[in-house]
Amino acid sequence: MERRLIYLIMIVAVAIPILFEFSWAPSRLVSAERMYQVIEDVRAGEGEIALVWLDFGPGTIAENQPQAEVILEHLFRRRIPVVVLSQYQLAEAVLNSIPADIASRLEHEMPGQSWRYGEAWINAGYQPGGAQMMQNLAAAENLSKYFGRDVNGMPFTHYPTFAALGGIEKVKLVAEVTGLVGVFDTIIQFFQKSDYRPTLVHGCTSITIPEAYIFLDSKQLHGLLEGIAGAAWYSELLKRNHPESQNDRLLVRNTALIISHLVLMMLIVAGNIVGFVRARRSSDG
Amino acid sequence: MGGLEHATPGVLAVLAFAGWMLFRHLAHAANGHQQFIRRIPGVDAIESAVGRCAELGRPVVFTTALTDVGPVLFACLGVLHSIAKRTAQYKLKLIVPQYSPEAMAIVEDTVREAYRSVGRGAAFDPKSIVFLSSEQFAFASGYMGLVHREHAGAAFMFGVFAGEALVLAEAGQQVGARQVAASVSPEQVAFFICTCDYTLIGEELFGASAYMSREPVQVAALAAQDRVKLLVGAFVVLGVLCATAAQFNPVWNSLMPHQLVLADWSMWKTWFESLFSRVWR
Amino acid sequence: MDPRTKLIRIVTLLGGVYFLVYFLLPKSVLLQLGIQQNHESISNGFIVVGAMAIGLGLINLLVGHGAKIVFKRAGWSNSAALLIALAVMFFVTCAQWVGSLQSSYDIREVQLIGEFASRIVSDDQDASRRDTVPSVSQRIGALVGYGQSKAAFMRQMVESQDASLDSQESRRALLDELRIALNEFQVGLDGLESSRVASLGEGNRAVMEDLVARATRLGGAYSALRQSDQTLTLFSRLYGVLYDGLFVQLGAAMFSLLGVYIAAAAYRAFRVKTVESALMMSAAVIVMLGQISAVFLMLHLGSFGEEAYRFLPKVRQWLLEVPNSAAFRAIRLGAGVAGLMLAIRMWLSIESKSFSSDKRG
Repeated sequence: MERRLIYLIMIVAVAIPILFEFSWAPSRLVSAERMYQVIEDVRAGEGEIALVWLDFGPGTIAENQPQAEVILEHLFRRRIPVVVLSQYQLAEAVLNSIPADIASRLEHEMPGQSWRYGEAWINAGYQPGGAQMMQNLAAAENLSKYFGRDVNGMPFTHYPTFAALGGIEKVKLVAEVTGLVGVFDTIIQFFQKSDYRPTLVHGCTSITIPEAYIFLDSKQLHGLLEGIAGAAWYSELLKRNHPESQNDRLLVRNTALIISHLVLMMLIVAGNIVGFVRARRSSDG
Repeated sequence: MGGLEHATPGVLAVLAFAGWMLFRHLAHAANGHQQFIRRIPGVDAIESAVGRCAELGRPVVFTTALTDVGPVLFACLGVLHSIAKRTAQYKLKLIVPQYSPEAMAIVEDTVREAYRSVGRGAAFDPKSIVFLSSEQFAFASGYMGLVHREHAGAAFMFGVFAGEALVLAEAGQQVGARQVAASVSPEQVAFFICTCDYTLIGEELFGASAYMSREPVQVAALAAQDRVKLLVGAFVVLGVLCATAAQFNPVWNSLMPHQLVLADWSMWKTWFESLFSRVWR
Repeated sequence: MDPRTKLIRIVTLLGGVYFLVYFLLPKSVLLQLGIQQNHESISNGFIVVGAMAIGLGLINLLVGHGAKIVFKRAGWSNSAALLIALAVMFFVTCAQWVGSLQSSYDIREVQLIGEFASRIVSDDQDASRRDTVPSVSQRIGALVGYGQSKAAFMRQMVESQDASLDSQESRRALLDELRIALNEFQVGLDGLESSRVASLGEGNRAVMEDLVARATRLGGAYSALRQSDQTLTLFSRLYGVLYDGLFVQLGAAMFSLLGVYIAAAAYRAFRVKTVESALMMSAAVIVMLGQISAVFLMLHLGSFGEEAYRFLPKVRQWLLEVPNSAAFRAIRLGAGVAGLMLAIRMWLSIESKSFSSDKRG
């Protein structure tokens, strides 16, 4: 009975902000600020790109999608050409929809400017092979040739911005957004050359935050978005510099997270009180 | 800092050391030398969980979750082999839900061999190795249903886990199963600690496998990996000392372990020369 | 040892030796040995072999659940539901895939026009290739013929679709873009045909390059329309319902269970019984509060709230960067070393003696 009551309390607590659509201010997260600065400092010249891995599917879409959106929005605003791709076969839908939605939103916010497919971004689709694929990608002399065609079957050479990409040295930023085990490790381990390691940022789910911190500390990772909270603070930073940026839906989700944290802490206290009272009764009785 | 594209002398030295340690201990095991292994408390938990199932007459569930064919799977098989032997002896039902189709044949072979080793080969039911799904949460929902329907008395979760770890563990909690978990995914350890009766952390999984099976090969490998860990520990201590000393004299940065290990072939020569000239100066 | 086991061990050893050699040798040596150039193909071969295993799970599902249905064992209706769902999803996915393959093939045929035209220009500029390909006039003749047939086909398609008075604005826009691109392409093609280009001097090269641009635009417009049409087919819609409507939502629902389960686990297990459990709980509460520190500002707690807002994230950061990282590194190092040992044993097939049915007494 207790268990069911806890489930009910949690469901109601998370549902309230989503149903009534109110939001609270996000909390400051240093790792998200660092990541913002990292992307602000990226300089992409001719033939230089950012690689954005969207390695998530239906399971972790609630946390990873907002992260992907804020990262792509920032890269699009900075006019850094982006190649989106994935190591996860179930990510196909998000590879198509997220960049298109962001581009459409930016065009709506800033009439007269455009972010067209093939200029602002290109979808290289699902890349099978895991560690093998990552090693081959890192060793490729010409990324346009390596990818060959985009997800629509058009050759990379068809798009002037992506026609003549060099090797890994031309990748100025790698963003990995995932909640999966192992995929982030393949990038850390294999996407490098002896004389070059691209700037790496990561959007992770709350479960994998503690593990991501070891790479942040050793400077193998340069920026980290910690679940929805990280994405929410990142969107606040975007809003400060670009007031037209919209982040209402993300803040509502973050508010649900805040409330659930508060409920969780109350449950911990309640559990301890109940445990203490029961222990007292059994020792008295 | 650059990356690691191919082997360096330092990497080769570490690999050679690891290989030498392994073969040295295998040779000792072949000569009949008994290597001492400390008893891990998790082993007691495994045995008492199986014993409890025997008393209650409830089935045992063993899952390797998201583990694909690889080193971790083989470590899990060591524990599965021991558990399967006990379930065969106590005439308990053993269910092994599977995520990876490639691993299924190996798992089936392991369980069959375990039944045969205690003279209960005829009792082995291949249908006890159940493929659920290669999709994480489809697997989790299948597992939950299985545990509830079968009213499992013990649940063993060994291997690689991701977000579904808590779902699996909570399913066992709900039916009152005794649960022992071992995860090489450190982020799931916290969830298992909250929901399981016992949790083995990191390489305790490999230790439990060696302890329970007492296979000379596994025991030898365990001893070898402890020696390699000593080497890693020495690197850590060296790194701490060098980092501290580097505050006073930057030449100590050259002796940092990662500089030593990652130095390329051509760099070794120039590195030695420059270090020598700086130290000699 | 039976021949099958021997073969498996030899293949495992050779596979491991190949990747070890690839890792050991520097790139210059790999290039000289010819390994670097073929490495991608060899790696892809391994990936393909791994993909073959997908059939194993399918066979197990069919055999296990099929037997339950046939012999009407307990829970056979659940097995029937599983196999029906498997069959429906398989059929719909295959049908959608076949449709998209056809669509891709059609798109490719149109894209070839621009690629061929571009190739004619680039081959003419490359002295080493000029003599190995047919003459410019022959190739242009072939290009014009092919282009005209494709243009006629597309014009017929556009006219027939116009007649249906499409109500969707986005699709009308795609049709209009295709019509414009088609007209421009036709102009370019007619211009090329009438100029009877026999060689690519400066003026004719400009004509060809203009045609390349027009053909590329045509390819892009046709591709956009066909892809849009592909999403409107029956099987694509069914696939959308089954995948986006059912599978994605079920996966998200399962993941959402974690939230309520964490609450139940925290209520049940986070009890302060020992010093260690008190430390663990304190750390958990600080990390959670650090993540939602803005709440302290909202509660209007004055200077305490401001201090908490500033201080808690720093403590959280320290907890994650120092003690947490130390513990995680220790676990990962240990597991990594153990994995290395096991990998060496698997490579040399030392492991297989332990559990295989080969082992005797």
